[in-house]
Amino acid sequence: MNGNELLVQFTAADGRLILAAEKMPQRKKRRIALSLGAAAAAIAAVITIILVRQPTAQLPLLTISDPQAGGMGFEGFRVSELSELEDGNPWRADMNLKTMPVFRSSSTNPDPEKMKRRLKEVAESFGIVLEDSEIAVDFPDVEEYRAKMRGYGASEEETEELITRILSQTATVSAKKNGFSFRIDSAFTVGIHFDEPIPTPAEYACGYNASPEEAERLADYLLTEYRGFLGMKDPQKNIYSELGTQFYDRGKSDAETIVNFSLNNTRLCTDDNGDLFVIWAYSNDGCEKIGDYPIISTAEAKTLLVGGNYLTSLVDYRITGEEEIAKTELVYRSGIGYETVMPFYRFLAEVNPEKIGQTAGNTDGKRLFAAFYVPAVRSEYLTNLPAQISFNGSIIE
Amino acid sequence: MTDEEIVKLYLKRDPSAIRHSQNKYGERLLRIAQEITSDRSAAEEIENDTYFRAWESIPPKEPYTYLFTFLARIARNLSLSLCREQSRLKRAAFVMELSEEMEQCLPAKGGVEEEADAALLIESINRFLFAQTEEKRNLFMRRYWFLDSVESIAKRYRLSESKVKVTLFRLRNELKAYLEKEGTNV
Repeated sequence: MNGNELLVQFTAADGRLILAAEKMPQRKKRRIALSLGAAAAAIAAVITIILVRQPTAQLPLLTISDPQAGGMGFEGFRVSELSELEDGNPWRADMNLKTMPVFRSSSTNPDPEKMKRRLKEVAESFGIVLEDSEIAVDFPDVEEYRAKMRGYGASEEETEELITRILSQTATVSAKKNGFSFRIDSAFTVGIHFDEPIPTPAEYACGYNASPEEAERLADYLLTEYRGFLGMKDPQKNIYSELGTQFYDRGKSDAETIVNFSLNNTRLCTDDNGDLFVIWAYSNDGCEKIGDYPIISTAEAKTLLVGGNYLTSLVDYRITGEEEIAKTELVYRSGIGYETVMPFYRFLAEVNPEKIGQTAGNTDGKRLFAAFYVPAVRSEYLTNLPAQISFNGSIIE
Repeated sequence: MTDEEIVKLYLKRDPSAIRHSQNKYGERLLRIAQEITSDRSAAEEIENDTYFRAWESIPPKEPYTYLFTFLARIARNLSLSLCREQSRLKRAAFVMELSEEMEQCLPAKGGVEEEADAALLIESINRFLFAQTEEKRNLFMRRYWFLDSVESIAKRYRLSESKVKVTLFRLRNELKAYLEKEGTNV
């Protein structure tokens, strides 16, 4: 395909993108001039808030970003029953968590030497020793991008923002040996592909439509077979993961367990014959812990949700009441492009398909749920909690 | 009249479907065609052709909830075709310029774009765009879907032309990196 063909094919861009760009941009509202009395009252209110809740001096303020909306159009789930929304998250509302750790991600400043070390470590767990000469380091030529941006008259800030994005999205380290392909990305996720799927004994093998009992049997087999590779002290299995069978370590605390579930876990993906064809190893080893931040309660998070303080991949969709919430859980958002890895309350709410341009035909008559994320870290530690949040922090008008 | 009601008229082969489509969306479709072709009479012709193309497409299509975008896509395609077929149009060279810019978004030869179905590629671009800020999405769409000039985009969003150019350049590079990455994961 060439550029001209792409220009033509781009006619089929998502309708929501077309409609949004067709709208004339609204002008920003003018600030309303306050009377002296109203201004004084506002200042007094701010001072009161500051006095009542001051962030701890040693914890830096955090900025929320949403570099990856992900999914096909939006993060949604089509299910026949609510039980299908189960994802094995160990979080429970009665855990009484007061703080959760926040990390600075490696993704926006990937270190090729660290990535190589991690890759070698993973390969060794399969008995494969990787020499430096066998490892490919694929990082973009940042000086080339800097030169191009200079040519366009871009500021240093814009240039460095571009460099950060490009590095985050494209920097990889990889190797192929003895029928295994190893690849690590800027978020420290390692993918291990096998030239040939590794067979699972028939008594444990099951396909994509396995019953929970069959899935448990397979999970038990995988845990036994790959325990050494997993290297976990108290491995927990999750058969409800969207991607393969997930294993994570139970931590010394509930907070650590939740971090492991979200950030330090391994997924063994089997095909429809039950044979292992890829492993994804997620790790926050490349991250640096910033601190343990106080978090809000579930009730406070629900209030923020209904108030419009959330991230979502739905365009122009508002949650108007708590009764729309079908499920609540505490998760971490991470991956390529994230500078800060922090906890969020994830709410799944049922959406009316027609409100988002879908019909019963699109949904196969199933119920449709979308994800809405409210920052769990207390707002006094955040630089940006705007009134209404849509994709990537832009404001819904 | 709602989109559903208009589409039902098409399905019933009631010619008033075209009149209702024109009443509801004619001005917007004409604007799309005129912005692409920069030729009023060509745009009017395209608007009329759009309704007849819609008449031929419904059924089997049933754009109950997306009639405008359905029509807009037809208008865009007709506009682009006209620009290519009639090089006399002022915009023909501009369309060529945009094609060259789009070429910059494509991964290197030998990558996934040679194997990927066009629909999958567009889905990837959709995903990429949904991950951007609203401003960046709109800039990209105004340039490569609506075929606006940089000057026009800058005026519309009250930005400097330099900012628009840099943003679009950055987006093209990021899209290329994104498509290359998606390709290596397949």
